[in-house]
Amino acid sequence: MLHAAAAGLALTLAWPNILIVAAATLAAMAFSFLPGVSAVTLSALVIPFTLSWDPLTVLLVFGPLVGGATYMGSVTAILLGVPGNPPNAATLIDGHALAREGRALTALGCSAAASALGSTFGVIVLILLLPVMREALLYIGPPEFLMLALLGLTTVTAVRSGGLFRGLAAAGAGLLLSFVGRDPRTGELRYTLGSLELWDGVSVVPALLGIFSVAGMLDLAVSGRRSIAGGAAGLQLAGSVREGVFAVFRNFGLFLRCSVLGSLVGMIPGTGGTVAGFVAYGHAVQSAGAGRVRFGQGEIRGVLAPEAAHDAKDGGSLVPTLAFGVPGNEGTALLLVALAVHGIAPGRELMTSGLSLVFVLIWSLFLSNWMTSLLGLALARPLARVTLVPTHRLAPLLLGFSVLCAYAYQGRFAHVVTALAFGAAGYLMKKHAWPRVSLVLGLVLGPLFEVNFHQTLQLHTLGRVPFWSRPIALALLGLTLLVLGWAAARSRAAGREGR
Amino acid sequence: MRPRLDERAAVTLAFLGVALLFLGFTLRLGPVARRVPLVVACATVALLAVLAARDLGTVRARGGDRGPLLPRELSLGATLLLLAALVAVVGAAPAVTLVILLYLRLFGRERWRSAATFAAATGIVAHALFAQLLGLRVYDGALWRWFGSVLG
Repeated sequence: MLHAAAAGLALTLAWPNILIVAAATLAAMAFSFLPGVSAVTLSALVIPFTLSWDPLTVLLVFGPLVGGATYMGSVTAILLGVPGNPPNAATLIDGHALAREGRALTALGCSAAASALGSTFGVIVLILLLPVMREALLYIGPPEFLMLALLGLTTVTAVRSGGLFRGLAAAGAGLLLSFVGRDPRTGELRYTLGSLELWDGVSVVPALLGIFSVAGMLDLAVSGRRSIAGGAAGLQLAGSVREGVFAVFRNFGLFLRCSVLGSLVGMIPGTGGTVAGFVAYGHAVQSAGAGRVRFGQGEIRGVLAPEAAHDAKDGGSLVPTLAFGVPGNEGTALLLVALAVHGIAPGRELMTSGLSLVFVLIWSLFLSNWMTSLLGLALARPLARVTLVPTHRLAPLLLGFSVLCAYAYQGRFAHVVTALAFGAAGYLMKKHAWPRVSLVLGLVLGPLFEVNFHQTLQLHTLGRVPFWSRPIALALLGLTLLVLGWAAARSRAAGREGR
Repeated sequence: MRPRLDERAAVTLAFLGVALLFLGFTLRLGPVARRVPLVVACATVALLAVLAARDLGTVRARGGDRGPLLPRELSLGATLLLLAALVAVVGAAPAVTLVILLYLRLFGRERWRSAATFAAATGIVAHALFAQLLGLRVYDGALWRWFGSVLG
């Protein structure tokens, strides 16, 4: 395997291959910077062109597209309060709060360092697990997915804004919205009100654009602030990139734990970075002790945790994709399509005779993550100046780009309406301290929860896969109960303090 | 004086109303399709009912009005509606340009010339970025589609 790793590295670094990686990284960065339009969109656009490419070039290009430039989505989350994609929503909570304090540079530095180191951790995990991944993945099924979705949902208890009840109610509302459309088992239409546009359900990306971007614009316009970073009195930009980078090393234990969480979640197909980010955020809050009161108000650990998990996930998500041909997310699904076009089938053959090609993909992902983070660090100061742009110019720009991004996502006018409607609701939620992140969490995890609930129930009832015989599912259930117990105890303690 | 409903309680009641609507629709679904939604809808309605009671209690205790929607908020709400209508009729890029122009003039109090320059530049950059550079679709609106069909 070491020989294959070295051969893969040599191929990736060879001229002009490294240039291809750099170009793909820059393109992925440009797409990831636009909210709602991710490198996944670019992957879909690129596939027709790959027909004339050789397999090596395809792998060099798809490394950056699969997860190389995810850091850019966090940049918009931190600076503008607009997550580039759903997985960046967890970074928004504390990242944007830091930007509003004028400490955008610190948040960007921490995010870039955690992102690069997290992806390195993910790649190491991927390399270590390559020989045993097939056997390990056989233990993951619907019960584990269900418990993971449940664990992800319980992280609403870690979001402090608005209190526990409001958080749970918002998550419930998010779940209800996720049920709109066809029932996954029977195909029966639910809550569509006779509209054809709702048959496929409420689309997450336009909803996210509305809840954060449009609502953020409304909030900015009403607030009277001169800019995101400066209050009505003046403009300021405090903090430093170095402070953010050092924060990762000061909290290295938390970084390692969140990277492990991210890698583990990433290995489970269909869960994605949103679960990884929120589970890590929840862990950061729970392990912070007395310092947890800072979370939600601009705590650097609230940026570090989701960023490390989110980027460590990318290495993990390649495990089921390469070993079984089971895509971990949309990006890896498109990678499989690109591989299939060139007659490359995932599985035993790829993992043995084609191992050096697998390593080309791994090294291009690794290099791309570092390129993005280093470029992000170099550009942190000019990027952070976005938070100093006068509100009366930034707000309509944000609104305009939200509309364009909502349409560009899938080319549907209904998505523009969705973004604007969620924008109005998101503004009211923000104004009255309803945790918007909880709503998003319900919306994202709803389908994963429902589909796997039905499958788990059916498998258990038929006696095929008794729930109580699944150690990983039981461990996840125990963890979920622990988190809920911790939240209830914290809520009771807060009530006593209040009295 | 009888206390009036404040905005926070009104928002909670509105969310409760929507959740009740969901619950009503859920009850009309088939037994399999409603299994999970029914549990979630009941729990959400119960939570929102508790929150609504708590918020209304706070209003009574305070005995007054708090946080009415500002005229500025209502104008921004109207801007969102105008934007949706303009996108549908003239397309996304012209609609965004027009709304930015109106926003800068009415809310930002910029001069017509600087507002028009900024709005036009934004429209051109947006079109160049989305349609030309990234090759993404930009909605062209009903009006241009109608022109297209008339001109053959």
